[in-house]
Order: sequence, then structure tokens, then C-alpha cells
Amino acid sequence: MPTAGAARAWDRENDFEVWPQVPTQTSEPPRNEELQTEIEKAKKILELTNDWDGQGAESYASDTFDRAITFLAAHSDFLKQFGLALPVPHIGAGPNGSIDLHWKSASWELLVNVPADMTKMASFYGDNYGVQKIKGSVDPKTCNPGLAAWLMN
Amino acid sequence: MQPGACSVADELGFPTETIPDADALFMRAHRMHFCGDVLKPGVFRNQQGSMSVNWNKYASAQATKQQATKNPDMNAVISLIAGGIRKIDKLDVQHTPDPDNRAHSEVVLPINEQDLTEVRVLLLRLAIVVIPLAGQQS
Repeated sequence: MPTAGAARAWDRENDFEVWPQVPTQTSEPPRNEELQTEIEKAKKILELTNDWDGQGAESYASDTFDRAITFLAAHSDFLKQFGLALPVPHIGAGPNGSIDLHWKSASWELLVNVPADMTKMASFYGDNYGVQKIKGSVDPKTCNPGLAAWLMN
Repeated sequence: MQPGACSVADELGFPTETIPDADALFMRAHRMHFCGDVLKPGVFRNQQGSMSVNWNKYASAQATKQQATKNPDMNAVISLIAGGIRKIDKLDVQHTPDPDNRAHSEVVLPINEQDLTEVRVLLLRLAIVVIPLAGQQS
């Protein structure tokens, strides 16, 4: 017999059907435990103050951090539609108040940089350590299916 | 030149030299740019079009670490080979000595953000940790 919790989940699935698939605009954290752990760990970035490295590094705004998480949520949700889980990136302190999302595997690497300037797009670069490369800019509020496919390499 | 006379370079500071491709450049890497003992690309930061490094002809890795204005032990030191940097499209290495630091040099970086993201990934592959963080083994 289905539990009340299962029924609620089924209701939510029905709700998803009427939502636009792309772009996904949600700041809801991705429901991926490993990813959630990395996000929680990365929040220490927000505690850094100006000149935290003694070389003039800037502090990090929660808006920038949230944009990075929105990017992850959008791609996680997109992949979930196909039964796939987003590989967990390292969420790190990028240059000049930006946030880096860095994936590195044995066969490919991808860096997405979410800038502190809210009017600017995120930039990305990835390759397979050989001739295949992916490079460009993306609105971090939306899912980029090309990037999502790259993450499934 | 008369005995005791100074060249223009001496009067202004140290002369600018060409850094050979085989030489190494040192830079500090703050603890925040590591995940465990793995260096992350955030260490490469564009400061008005370039990134400060020390040429190994005039500074050791240890001296580079000690130049930190805040707690040096929060920093590791990484090494990049000049020729490897020059092989990356859009990058250059220049000796830019300071009166206080003859080793001071700059890695000239691209301004375009997409290019900068690319070169940070490529620089990361060149980087070798020569002095690990305190509490970690090399």
C-alpha cells in the first residue's frame, strides 16, 4: 500500500509535467546527498573577508554563491529527467569574488566560473585531455543541455 | 662607462631580463585553493591583466612563501615552467623586477573571461606543488 509520503511524491511528479523543461529556474538545492554535502562544505567560502589571502582577494557574496547553486540545481534537475545524477563538482573560491565549479575525472575536466557581477554570464571550459573541447558562456539560471551532456561523458 | 657610474637600469632599479623557457616560476597558493592536497584552479587570479610570480633565478620557493604578508603557513608554493606557460595560447611570461624584489615577474593573462577560464584549467595542469601546505607531505 502506498504511504502518504509516496503519494505526495507522486503528486509532485505530476506537477513537474506542467513545468517548462528548459530553462529551469529554481534556487531549490539539488536533492543529491553527495552534492548537498559539497554545497554545505563550500559555504565556508562565504565567511572569507576581503584580503583573506593577504594578496588582495575579494570576499564572496551570497548572491554569487546562490547563482552557482542554481546552476547546479538546474543541471541536476535536467539530468534527473533521464534517471541520471549530476557528478559532484568541487565548489571553490574563484578569482575576484567568483565561484568555481570544477569537475575532474580520469577522462575529462570541466571548469565553470560564476562571476560576482550578476549581469555577466558564467564562463566554462572543458576538454578530454585531447582534441575534444567545450568552451563558452552560459546563463547560470538555465540548464545548458550541451554542458549537461558533457557532464555525462 | 666611467668607473663608479651607474647604468640607467641601475638607477631605476634592477634591469629587466628575458626569462628562459627552462626556468621555473614560483607562486604562493593559499590553503583555500586546495581540496585536501589537490590544487584547484581558483589559485590563478587575474590582477589587472597579469598574475605575479617569482623567477627562480632570484628567489627560492621558500623565499616566495615567506613573502606572504599574512601567515605564510597558510600557503603552499607551486612551480610553473616558463616554457610551458608560453606554449599556452594567449599567455606570456615577463620579468618585471621591483626595487624590493628582483625575482618579481608576471604571467600575462587574457582579459576575455572565457579565455581566462580555459587558461586556468591549462595552468593547473602545469603546476607542481614544491612546498606543500603545513601538515601535508610532498
